[in-house]
Amino acid sequence: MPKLLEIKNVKKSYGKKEAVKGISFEVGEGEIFALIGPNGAGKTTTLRMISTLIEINDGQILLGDIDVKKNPAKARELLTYLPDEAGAYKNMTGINYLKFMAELCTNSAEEQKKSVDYAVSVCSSLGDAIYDKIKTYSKGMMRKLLIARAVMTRPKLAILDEPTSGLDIINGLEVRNFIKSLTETGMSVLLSSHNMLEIDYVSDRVAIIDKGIIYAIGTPKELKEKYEAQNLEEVFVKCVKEVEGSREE
Amino acid sequence: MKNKFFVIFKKELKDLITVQTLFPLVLIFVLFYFLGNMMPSLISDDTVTIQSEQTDQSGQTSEVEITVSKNSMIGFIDYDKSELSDYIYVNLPTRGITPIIPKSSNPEEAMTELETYNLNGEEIKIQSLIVIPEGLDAKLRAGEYVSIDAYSSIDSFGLTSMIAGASAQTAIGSINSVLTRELFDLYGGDPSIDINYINYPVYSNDYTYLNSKTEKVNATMVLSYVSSQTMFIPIIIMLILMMASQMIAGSIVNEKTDKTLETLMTAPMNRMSVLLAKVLAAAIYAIIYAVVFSISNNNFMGSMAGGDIYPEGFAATLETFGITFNITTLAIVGVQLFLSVLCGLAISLLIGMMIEDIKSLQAYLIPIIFAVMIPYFLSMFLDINTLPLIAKILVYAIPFTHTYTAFTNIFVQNYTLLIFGAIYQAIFVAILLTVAVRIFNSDKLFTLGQIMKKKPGKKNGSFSIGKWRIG
Ligand SMILES: Nc1ncnc2c1ncn2[C@@H]1O[C@H](COP(=O)(O)OP(=O)(O)O)[C@@H](O)[C@H]1O
Ligand SMILES: [Mg+2]
Repeated sequence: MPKLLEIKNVKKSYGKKEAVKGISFEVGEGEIFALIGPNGAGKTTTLRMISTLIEINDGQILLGDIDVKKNPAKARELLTYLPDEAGAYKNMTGINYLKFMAELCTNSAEEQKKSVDYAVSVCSSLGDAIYDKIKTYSKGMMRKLLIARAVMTRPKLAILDEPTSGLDIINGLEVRNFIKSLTETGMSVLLSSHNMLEIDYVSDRVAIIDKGIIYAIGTPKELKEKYEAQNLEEVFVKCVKEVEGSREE
Repeated sequence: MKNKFFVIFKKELKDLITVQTLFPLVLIFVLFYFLGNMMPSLISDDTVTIQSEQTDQSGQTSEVEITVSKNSMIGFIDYDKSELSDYIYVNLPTRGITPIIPKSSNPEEAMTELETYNLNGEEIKIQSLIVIPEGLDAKLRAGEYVSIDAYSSIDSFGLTSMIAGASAQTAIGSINSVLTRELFDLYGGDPSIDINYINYPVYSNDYTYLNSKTEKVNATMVLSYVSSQTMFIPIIIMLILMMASQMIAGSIVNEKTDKTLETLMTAPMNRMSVLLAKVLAAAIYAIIYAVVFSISNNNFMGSMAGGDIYPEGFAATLETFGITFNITTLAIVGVQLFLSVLCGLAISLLIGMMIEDIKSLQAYLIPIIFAVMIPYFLSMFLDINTLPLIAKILVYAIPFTHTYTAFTNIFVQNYTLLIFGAIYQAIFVAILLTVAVRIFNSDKLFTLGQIMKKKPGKKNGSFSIGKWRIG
């Protein structure tokens, strides 16, 4: 699989606090890659660095052949970012929000219309609610609208921070199924989650991250086999223990 | 029951008494303390010692040194040189008025001279002059009313200048009461004499001296006309700044809490457009507001004035003085107003970038509102140009001050200060916007707020933002 995104020994500190302590991984084209780890592991920090919101202190991020630090504007043309717990302009209707964002993210009326049409089809489960003001939306509706926004321009890389957190079983499943279907269009997805169980089914590969360090990378199957674990949660516990143990020696 | 009431009561009190809520109180106290201490020295008593003749009971005159207030001095020209005019001159000090005789006996020249009058080597400013006409003595003895020319000079349009403007009137009043005693002796018991005449034998002919020109018009009327036309400027600045600041800071903070800002900043577009669009939209709103307010205010003031309270030829008189509310002056003040609004928006923009939630926004905007109010109160009570140098620099460092003083500076033809003010405001805006753009293009927007939250002891209530302090 040709690689789209390459993270090389990236570090980030907030003041004195080291949030990301030199991590490396790659995301292939059309791949769904998940960063999994508990709260405060450094997932959001990593995703924000890739999406050009915050600067890296050290290392390199390559998106295709673009150095993200040197040419953030160019990188922004290839990626979209969905912040965790994000909202939208509350006084707009869903459809107008999609139109507004499409106008900002595309360069022609034709592209804009194509994007909006695609987005509407993506969140078709909203039904007529798409014509309602966003302030009337439930959490699940909001998340669907925002995911539709994130993928509507069919970026090379969609970065989704905790796309399923806080959703009920049905909405969570719906969102996960949708993400899974995205790769058919050749889009790469980089997502994060603190819920390690639900991510198993969605992702092609996962990286286990905690305290700003990546402990293991692989397909869920590989990792479960390697650590002789039933599920990714167990993998997390075992691999963190293993690495910490080898450190103490 | 009672206990639970106190549990909640204590929590509510604690919530209310925080740094954020106490800060404005402290500021108010300091401001008014400062004003209170400064006002007396500026308005009333600055005293000087002068030589004066005094007549004792035996009729002997002698030179004595007395201490009088600078504000009590008034120019005094005597064309009559009679017993009664002398009597006025000698007795005015008993009414708290110190007549000063200028070298020139031409009133207009005398006004210029008195502007920078040299009293025992100290330069003082005397703003009023009365001219005793020839024949005063004769007319009074014939039971006729006498008109006395009273000159007042206007050198600013603050509240204190009204006090100075009134002092020629005060002098006329004093002359009347001085004369009453004498006339009572003269006409006492004469049934044909009108009691009103004894009380008010003289009346004033008012002249105003402004920008080296003299016109036959009452100074208080000129001042009140100008203040009725310009009063709305400070009010409008306050209103606009409060609203526009709130709007722009709020729009940034809202985008932060909803994380729509992150979405915008990762969109393939120029980040500057986001900032400029916000600033410009708020500025346009503010200007529309200003225009509507000014028009309504003018209508309101016009209806209050009723149109006919000013004498015929008043407009022409103002024109002679250079006081015209024409397109040019309005345009200059408009530009000033716009610059002020931009200053306020730039500051608010920075505040909006640095704080995390809309709740603390109000508290952070309070310092701006105070920066707007301090020069407003000062310009209401005194002429900022007469402040001591340090205070003057401090007050003029507040960019909004220049807009408050714009009309005055135009009317007293102080163009240097006007231009300097505009340049200063432009530089101020440019610097702040540059800083804002810097922050916007760096990742400070997303890291700064968090860092301050994480610091031990520095909770939301603190006023320090990273290295900066607001207020
Ligand atoms: N803006 C910030 N300022 C200071 N510390 C931060 C900031 N953002 C995150 N952190 C810290 O960095 C670490 C990683 O945070 P984050 O990347 O948000 O983790 P995650 O998304 O995995 O929950 C945490 O310890 C968090 O407290
Ligand atoms: Mg996170």
